[in-house]
Amino acid sequence: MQIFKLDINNIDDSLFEEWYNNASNSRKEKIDRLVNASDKKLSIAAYHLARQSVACVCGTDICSLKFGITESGKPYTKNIDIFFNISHSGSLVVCAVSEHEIGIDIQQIKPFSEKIIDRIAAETEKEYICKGGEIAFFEIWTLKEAYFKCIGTGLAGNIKDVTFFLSENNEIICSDKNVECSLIPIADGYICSVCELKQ
Amino acid sequence: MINRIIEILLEYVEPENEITAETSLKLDLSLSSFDLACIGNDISNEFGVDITPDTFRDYDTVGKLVMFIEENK
Repeated sequence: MQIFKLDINNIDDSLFEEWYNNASNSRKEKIDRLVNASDKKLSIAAYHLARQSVACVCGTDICSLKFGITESGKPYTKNIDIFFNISHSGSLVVCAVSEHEIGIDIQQIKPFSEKIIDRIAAETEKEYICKGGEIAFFEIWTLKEAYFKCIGTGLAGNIKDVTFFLSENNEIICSDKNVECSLIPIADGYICSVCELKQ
Repeated sequence: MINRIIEILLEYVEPENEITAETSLKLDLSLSSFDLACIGNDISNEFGVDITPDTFRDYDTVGKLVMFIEENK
């Protein structure tokens, strides 16, 4: 598994224009709908980073790659046997590339209503969040997001269906034994998790 | 009700976004799953309607979301 990241603060107008001009028509339409300049940059950055990361891992030309999207909205490579996943938050975009199905989620740490804890966390997770505060909350949140992205459903159904236990020695135990999950140190102020299907 | 829903949404997006009944939560406002979870929480607390991630997939515009809340409150 390899993780790539990109900060949209490093994308100036000329680089945005270059990537935009090279993007597919559907991506251009998606970007054109967005009003906020940061959202436009995040969208083109996610598009570019996915292609660049897969091409880098596979040692192929970026132009030769073909991508599709599943019914549940998960992007995949059409003509090469590799898996990838993208996430963005704040100014960062991250991409995970693996030989196995993978999901990644990044979240900028920001204030949230404590009531949301009840909506997403199981009892054991609530205890962990109670002790660890907002960092612990976003660890649980991103692990769940990465899990549902890995299995390809996104956040459909009950988010409490999967649970995580984080031990004091940084071991992460998922209720679904078919996956391996980890927290990735990406940048100050962000929490990033990846979840990979075992062989 | 739509004005109150727009007020809630504006807490999660940049103010230059113009929000109408036709606005798509994902395609126009680029709201993340976490933002949507928080918005769902806000709406549930205010209107007593349970909003899940599936709700936002099926009711993906502001107008459709208002319709869902009115039908289920």
